[in-house]
Amino acid sequence: MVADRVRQLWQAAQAAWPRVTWPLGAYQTHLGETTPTHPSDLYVAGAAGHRINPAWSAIDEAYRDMVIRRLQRSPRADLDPEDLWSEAVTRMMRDDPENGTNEDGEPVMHIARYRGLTRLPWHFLAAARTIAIDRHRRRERGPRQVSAEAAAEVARGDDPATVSGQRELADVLAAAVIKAFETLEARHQFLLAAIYRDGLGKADAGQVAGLSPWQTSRELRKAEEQLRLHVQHAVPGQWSPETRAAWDRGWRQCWDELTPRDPEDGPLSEPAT
Amino acid sequence: MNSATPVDTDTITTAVREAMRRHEGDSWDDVNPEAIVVLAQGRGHELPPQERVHLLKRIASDPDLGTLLRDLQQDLADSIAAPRFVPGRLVMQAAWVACLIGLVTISAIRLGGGPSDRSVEVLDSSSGAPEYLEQLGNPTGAPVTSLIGDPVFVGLFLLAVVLGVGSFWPRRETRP
Repeated sequence: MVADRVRQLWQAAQAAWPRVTWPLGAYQTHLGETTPTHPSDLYVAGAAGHRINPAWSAIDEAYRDMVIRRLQRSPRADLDPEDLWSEAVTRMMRDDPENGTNEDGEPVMHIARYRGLTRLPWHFLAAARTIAIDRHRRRERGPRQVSAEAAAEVARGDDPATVSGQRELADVLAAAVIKAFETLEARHQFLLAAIYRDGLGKADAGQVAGLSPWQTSRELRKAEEQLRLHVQHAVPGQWSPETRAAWDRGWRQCWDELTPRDPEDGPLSEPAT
Repeated sequence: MNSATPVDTDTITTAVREAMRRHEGDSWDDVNPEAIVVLAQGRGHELPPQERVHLLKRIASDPDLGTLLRDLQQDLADSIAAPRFVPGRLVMQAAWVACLIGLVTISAIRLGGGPSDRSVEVLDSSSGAPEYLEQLGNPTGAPVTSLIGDPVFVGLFLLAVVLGVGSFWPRRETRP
């Protein structure tokens, strides 16, 4: 017996998408035990995923322009927004055998993974942006040469012994930082990367990690401190006052290069202590 | 290894950046667009904890995913709920002003010197009309002293100091 709640959701979804017919039982199975934030969008996406063609045309009609308008702001790819929309639709139409088959025994399409947590057009928007950035990075960037870059940054010096010592220490330090970063908890990793690598504002980064502004400040400081301590312990005997000062300046440099400011401006903050 | 060798800033910067781009260029097949949107909208708590942790780690180690997240935040700026946080300083400043008003009010009452403070209404037995006996009973001495002894005044004063410091102390930008 179908619960009243599911029937109500199904009826509301049918009203929202009158041209899409999908049986209540199938919708209930697709819905599972959860109540999504956007049950009507889940209905049309589920129907599309089960290869009901009117669902695809309804999605195209309802959401195409909405997504394209947002993509026009910054396509960030060699494709124009309309092509990106088409690519996103194509991606959603991929077979997804892990999700089972429809009534005709055909594999369900990838769009069936949509869970109704956000509006369906934003799901397509994210897919289109993913395609755009992926194409951009493949086109612009060759294979990464990490170690070469790290080696190139090794401190300069005329004395071969000094150069060798610095290179050795730099390698040890680089490995220690990478290892230390990986030991941090996820939200600490995210905060450091979002702020010092991507230049996201603290409030925005905190919001993504589910933190209030004051919690963000606290957790960011904690993350910096934990990372430093891990590295410090990984290179015992090497953590001189000069290295410590360089550590503080290194983080500041990461941030300063993300945010060009008036050279007459004072420092953003005092070094972490 | 030469223990006297200092590390320069560029080396640290490179090491830090390297740590934050460990999975740059990896396939995004396992990245769910919907989950990224939910994160970008600041609703990550709606994701299963395991998925959320995995996604945060992926973003932390892949700058392109960071770019994706930022792009989506900009795309959806009009659909992302306004920050749910009331600016802390504004609230503290409002409370500080309320404390000041309270202090002024209490001071005015205590120091104002109305008839009720220092005189007592009595009934004149001969005429039957009310009269006032001035300066009858004022054991506390100076009015300022009485203010200092007033727990309400002292409490409000201390609160005003704390709120004032919290509200107007120059904000030091944590890095960044």
